[in-house]
Amino acid sequence: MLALATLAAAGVVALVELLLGGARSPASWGYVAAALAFLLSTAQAAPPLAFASRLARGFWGISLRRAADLWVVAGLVTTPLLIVLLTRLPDWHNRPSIWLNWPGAPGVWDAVGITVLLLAGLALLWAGARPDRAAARALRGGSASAWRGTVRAWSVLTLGMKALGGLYLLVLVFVHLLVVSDLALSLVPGWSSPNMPPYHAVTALQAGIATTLLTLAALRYFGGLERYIRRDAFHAAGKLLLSLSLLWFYFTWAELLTYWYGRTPAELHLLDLLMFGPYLGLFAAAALLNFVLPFLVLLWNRVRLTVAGPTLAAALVLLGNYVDRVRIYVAAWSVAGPPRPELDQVPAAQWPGLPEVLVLLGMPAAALLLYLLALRLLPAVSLWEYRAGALLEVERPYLKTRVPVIAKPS
Amino acid sequence: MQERRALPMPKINTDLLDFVLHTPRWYWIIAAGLLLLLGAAGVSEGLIIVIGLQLLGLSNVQLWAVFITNFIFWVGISHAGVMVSAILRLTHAEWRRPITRCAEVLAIFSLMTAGLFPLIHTGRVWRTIYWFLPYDFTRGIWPSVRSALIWDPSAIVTYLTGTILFVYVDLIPDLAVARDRSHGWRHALFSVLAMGFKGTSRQWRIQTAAGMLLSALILPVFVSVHSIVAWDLSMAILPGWHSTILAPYFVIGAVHSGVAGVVTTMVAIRKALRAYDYITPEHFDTIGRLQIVVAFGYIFFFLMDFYFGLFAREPVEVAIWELRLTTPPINLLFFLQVITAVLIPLPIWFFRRFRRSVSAMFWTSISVNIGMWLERYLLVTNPVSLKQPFTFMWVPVYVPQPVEYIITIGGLAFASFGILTFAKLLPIIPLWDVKEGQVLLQRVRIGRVTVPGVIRD
Repeated sequence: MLALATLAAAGVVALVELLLGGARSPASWGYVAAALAFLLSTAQAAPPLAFASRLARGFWGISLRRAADLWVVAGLVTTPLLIVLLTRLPDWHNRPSIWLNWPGAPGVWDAVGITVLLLAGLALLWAGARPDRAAARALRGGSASAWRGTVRAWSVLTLGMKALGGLYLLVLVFVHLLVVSDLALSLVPGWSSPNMPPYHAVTALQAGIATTLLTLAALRYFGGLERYIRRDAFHAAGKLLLSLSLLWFYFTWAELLTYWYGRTPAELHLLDLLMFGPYLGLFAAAALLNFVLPFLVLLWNRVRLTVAGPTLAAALVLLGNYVDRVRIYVAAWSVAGPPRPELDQVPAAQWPGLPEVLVLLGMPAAALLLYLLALRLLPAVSLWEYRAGALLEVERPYLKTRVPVIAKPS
Repeated sequence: MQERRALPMPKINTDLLDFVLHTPRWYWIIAAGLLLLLGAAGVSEGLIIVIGLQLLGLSNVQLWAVFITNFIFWVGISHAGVMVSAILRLTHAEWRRPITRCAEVLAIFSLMTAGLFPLIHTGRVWRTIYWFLPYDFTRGIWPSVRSALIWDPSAIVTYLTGTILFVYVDLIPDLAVARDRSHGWRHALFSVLAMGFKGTSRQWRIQTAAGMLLSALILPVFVSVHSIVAWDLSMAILPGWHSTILAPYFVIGAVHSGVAGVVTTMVAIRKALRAYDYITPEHFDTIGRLQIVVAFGYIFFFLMDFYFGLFAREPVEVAIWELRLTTPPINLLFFLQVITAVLIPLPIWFFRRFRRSVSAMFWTSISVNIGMWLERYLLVTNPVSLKQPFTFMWVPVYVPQPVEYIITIGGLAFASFGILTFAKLLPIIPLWDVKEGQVLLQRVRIGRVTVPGVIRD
């Protein structure tokens, strides 16, 4: 924790230095935007996996729900980071944007969007933790909790968790739209790709699953929770990660193919800027880490049934997501300037200096630090959901063997 | 989705093979009606061949219209059939069992219907052989491999072959049951098709593994087929078409429309086969939830298409949206599309009471497909009408002509007749899958209540 705190502090200092005039070029803010987009795509995109398992009443998801929900604390890092970035945007007048000169846009509305996401996430975490906090208070012999566990309280809780989870997912997708359109698309002349917001959201869900898988693996190995975090969570999340890795390829291919066949000068410049020019290495690494390697690892059911296989794929995806976000945002900020109809030349690659590297490392460190602090307050496995799950699983004799039976009350 | 009734195995055989082995009178009436519509469409197509394309509402710029709309619409319908079946199998969703086959059969006949429309669209159908054969052997003039005329047939034939295989593998155990319960020509036919299936444990293992493998393989094919259809449009530098989102937007639209198509088919099959014990309100409830999720995805992509059409403020892109939003009668069709595809059905699906109502689900599914057909129509016709505005001084407004209406209805009749004929010849609700579900069904006592449960393999 000390190391994380030091790294986080260094990241904050580097950010302040950039703010006070230390930015060498607008591309420096591209690295800050990449750090923001990475946290938004990994940590803050983890809770939808818990929501999906609650909605589908997936028995496999019981052990991962709290671990995923706790990542909403990363919003405490991303919210101020986005507000800082919004102050560094170039002149917005007559700039192509989804806001169409709406008053206060993009600064006010983007800030409102990410704040709503943070609040929705904290509300989700707070609501989901109420039974556990009530149980902990009862164990400690403290005063009676406001939450009593009546039939009505339980039904309100289960319904509320689904409603808050749904709200969180909708706001998350909306914030991804805001971030990618205002911090990337609007800055690049001629880049009006409607494919990018869904691409950003889908790859965020992919990285959110990867974050949850890595968290589960860490909790198993370092948190002594092998009994509670079972392999079926890795198997099920691994299957989802596989399908989302295929979608990474699909959305990237849709973007590439349309511009490739269009072949207008503006489109060729865009391909050059984002894929085949100065950031070709990052694009190739992103393709390898987000699609090729996870696909090859997760293709095999035997590998998916292990803990190590999905964890390895998750680590690759997490790294790949960071590389991808750096590719998009640094390239976009490197051409940020007054609005122009189309991109006429592509600048050379903008490599990070020490402040940019410290921001890239410090912001995720700050989010991880907050996560570890949150773990001091709440158990990593949702106790009430785990106990409810234990009631629903029984073993029965069947022919010459015994089989697990899962009850699914409607 | 565990509210199923416990059903004895012999009753399952009797109920689900009844329509295959006995023919009710209504079958002949409906089949005759559909054949009549098909005949009218055939006559219309004959007139087009004999008289020419002037029977259609096409013009100097409007060369793609209703037939291409129908092609895209039916390819879209075919998608959810396979998607519903393959994803539900891969995720071991228990409620899938009675509905997977009717979804797959819908996919097959929708795809066949879709395949007819590009042929009709060409006018001189016989000349389509030049899509894959050289126009002139001696001079070596081959079709361009970059042409949509090569992409589309390749993708569709691959998808159709895969889907037929997918359905056939799943059918084998039921064909064996039908073989053992039939006589005469039916017995001979089922014996050949059942390929000696006797239900040994090895045969079951292979059948299950093949089903899972095909489920996993067919999913990328289904995504690629509609993407290729979308890329036919988006590779052209036309406003409204040349967009990076078109492929995923087509796929999500296809799923939205296709799931609705599956619901319509489920209602028809339930009524026709009196399969009230098999396709229950719980199935409609669950598929209604799926429709809510898909509808939200569709709305998101629709809004992206709209926002980014205006994002760059390019005059030609703005002109497309002006056409859709402000120019009658196109704007009326556009609002009708939004109302029927989303605004009517989505709020209804939020209520469990309506999701469990068979008639509410039927009419909302019809509403969705009216909206989705209009969406395809506007997507195809509007951008083409704005093609080369400075080249042609005179561009008449496109109005579909009677033969186009008749052939469009004929397409619906073709798909319906195909599904009806399949249901007459082969069990459209999978016997073995329903029986397996019965075997896995358990009751679990929790405290003072007993709740349904399922054996997890």
